[in-house]
Amino acid sequence: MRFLSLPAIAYLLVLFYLPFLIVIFYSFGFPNEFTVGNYEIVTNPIFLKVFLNSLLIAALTTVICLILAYPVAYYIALKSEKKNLLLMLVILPFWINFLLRTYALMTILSPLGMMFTFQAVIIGMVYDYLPFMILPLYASLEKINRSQLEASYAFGATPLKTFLKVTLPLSKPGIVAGVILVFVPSLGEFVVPAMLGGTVATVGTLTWDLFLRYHDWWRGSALSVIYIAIVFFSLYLYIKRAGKLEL
Amino acid sequence: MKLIPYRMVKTAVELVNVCKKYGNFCVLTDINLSIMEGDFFSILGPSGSGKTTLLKIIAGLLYPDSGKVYMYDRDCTFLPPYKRNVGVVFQDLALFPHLNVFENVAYGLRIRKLPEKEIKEKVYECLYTVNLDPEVFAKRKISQLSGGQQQRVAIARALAIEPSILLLDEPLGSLDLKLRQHMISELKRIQRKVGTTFVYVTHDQTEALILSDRIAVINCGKVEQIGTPVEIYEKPKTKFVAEFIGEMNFIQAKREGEYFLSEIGPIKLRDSNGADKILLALRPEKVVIDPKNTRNVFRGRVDEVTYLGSQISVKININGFIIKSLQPSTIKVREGEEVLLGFREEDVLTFT
Amino acid sequence: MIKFFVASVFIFLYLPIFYVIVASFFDVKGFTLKWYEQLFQSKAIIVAFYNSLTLALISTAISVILGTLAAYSFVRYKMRSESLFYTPIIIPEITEALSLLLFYNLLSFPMGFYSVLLGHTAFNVAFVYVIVRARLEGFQRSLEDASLTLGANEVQTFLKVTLPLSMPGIVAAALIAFTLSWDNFIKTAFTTGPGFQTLPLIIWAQAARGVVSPSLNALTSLVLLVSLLMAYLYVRLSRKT
Repeated sequence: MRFLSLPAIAYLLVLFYLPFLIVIFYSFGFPNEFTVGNYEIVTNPIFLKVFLNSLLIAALTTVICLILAYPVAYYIALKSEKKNLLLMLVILPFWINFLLRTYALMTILSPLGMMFTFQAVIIGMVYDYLPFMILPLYASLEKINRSQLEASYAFGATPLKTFLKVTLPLSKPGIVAGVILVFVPSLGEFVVPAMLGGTVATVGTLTWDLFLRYHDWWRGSALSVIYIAIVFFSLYLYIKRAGKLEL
Repeated sequence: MKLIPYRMVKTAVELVNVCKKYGNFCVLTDINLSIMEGDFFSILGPSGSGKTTLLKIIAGLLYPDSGKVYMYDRDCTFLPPYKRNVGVVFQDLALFPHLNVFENVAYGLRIRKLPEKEIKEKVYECLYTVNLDPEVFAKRKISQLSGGQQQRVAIARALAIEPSILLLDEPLGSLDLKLRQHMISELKRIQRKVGTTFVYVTHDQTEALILSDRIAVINCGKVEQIGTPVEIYEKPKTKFVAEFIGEMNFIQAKREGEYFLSEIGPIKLRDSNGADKILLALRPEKVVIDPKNTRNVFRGRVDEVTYLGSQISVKININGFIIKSLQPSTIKVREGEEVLLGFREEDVLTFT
Repeated sequence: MIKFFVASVFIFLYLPIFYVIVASFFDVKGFTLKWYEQLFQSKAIIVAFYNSLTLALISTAISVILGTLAAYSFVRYKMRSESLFYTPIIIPEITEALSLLLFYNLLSFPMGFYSVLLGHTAFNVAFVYVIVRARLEGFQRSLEDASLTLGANEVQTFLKVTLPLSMPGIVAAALIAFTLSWDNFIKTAFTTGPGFQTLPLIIWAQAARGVVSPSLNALTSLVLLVSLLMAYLYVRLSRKT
């Protein structure tokens, strides 16, 4: 009954993998002559500015998410008595599309007069990506035995020392997973900068514009191939360290 | 010419040269055995000996790479399990968690599309057979049952389809000692009551010896010996069987004229099939302390005495070689005491 | 101290959602349903609502069937090349969306309901596969063996044992697939054609200009509440099993 998997495999080959191959073709000039010229987009000063901008947004988002998420994950995993409820509150936002959540945030930011600023983009990004940081952190902190911590206290370590010597090192896999889960997608994020950023341009908004506004599919494809390469490279680094990917 | 036995006994299962490989690893090699109708037949072997694979081949859940499987003289080698009418009690019981007790037992009957009334009668009958009161248990969920009760439901479910053979794969493995002892006598009672051929897979020699009419001892995918419990225990054919079933003293010996020189001294034996180097095996309970009328007498020191109730286990040191012996508690020996021990020649088994 | 911090983070996460839902039920005079009434007076929104719903339902149906069958055969036959199903989950949505755009364009495939549906389903198949697979791995193989020895053939065994036991996983996968398709925006935007609108596209068209309005609050709340309903059903389901 192996053939039962064939429809799904065929579906993905035709409607996921084949289109992806076409993107690579387009990035090299298809259906016109073969060229690597589209990749010269990376030397364009405007592109560089956009790329650095995205990098900055992604980095800030990641750092702020980590700072906000760690105490929350720590609390849920090791201190809370209402673990299930809080965990559900972390998971619930995964069920709502970024478009809706970002609009919800807009209804708060707009009356405050904070729209269309760099700060608005960062707030929006943190708002959308925070659960992606809390969950992997929680997963790794949850594996820490309370008795491991008590052992540390028993040997006379202060809470701060226990945290630095026991908790933090043990939660490292969660930190790495969380950073990748936030940093990589936020680098290509479109919805948040498009809705809250006004003129703030990112890799995501540039991709959108190249495809849907300027119909420059060739350079758009080159940009996507570069982005995908970054995604795969990060995942490769992570899987190499962690052994496997946990979803 | 075929010999016709005085009682017409049919062969329920016959395996001829059955082989099974996983990759390059041979799990079963040239298995030949036949199981008579109505027998309680045990397949006994250590874990990893291939006994579960053998059971799956009889059930049709695996097909052999070569060889034949016959059931009542019909070639069933590649017959799918659902056409074999073989009941199986699985090691993990495999009760359907989404069905209650009644529906679990009724499962095979519903597949056979029996009328509702017949199904109910049969399910109740089977539950009574395994000593579960249907009025109490029929509506229960599987998760609401104790380990022993689940065991009974699994047996009832397998019996409900009136199988020509019932296979049991270490069904008592997960139970604690006391419950296991109880279930052993239950199994025997159930088998007598329904009269079905039982094929019982186990690594526990005690279970096999108590329950079986006949036992096949297998090791590393090969049949070592097939016989009644008495034959297996009293006359093991190979060193493995001698070692695996019960306790045994093994003594290396070398022919020297009329005698065999061994670690405990010269031994005189009646029969020695001509080999120069042999291995002698002696059951602890065949060792006699202060023997009379025997040619083989040795002097040793009592190293350890363990009280076992009706019996005592005595370890005797003969020139540094330890002989285990089992004596009635009425015999009084003290640790450190010098004793004479001996055995009858016919009690010594020899392996080359 | 830490309790206060954690509470603040959760308020940050939930205040906007809470606010948009509450605001959609009020005007200057107080509680009102008029924003919702307005929504359902607009023909465009009714059509878009219908489109979103059909899209989500059909995409869920197809992906549940394909994904479940694939998960079953992969688990039972220990097949390799599973990463086939993981890549679509890892790849950023916008990349998947634009590759579909190029693909349809190359084939001159008409852009509209079908192009969007096919795109949504590709992603959902992968998701259903991963979830159902986890469930199938959770129950013992011997249950199916037991069914076979009791006289049920492979198809009967699948229908009477495998399917009922993996049902919680399948329903969970269906809820997720429905939601992913129901409020999807980026993939829909890239693969839609003239005249085919969904609710998220309508929200986008107004919100992208930075406009916050009570009727948009109502529309967003409507989409959001359906997603939350799915999440609620999912939680109840996982509590039960």
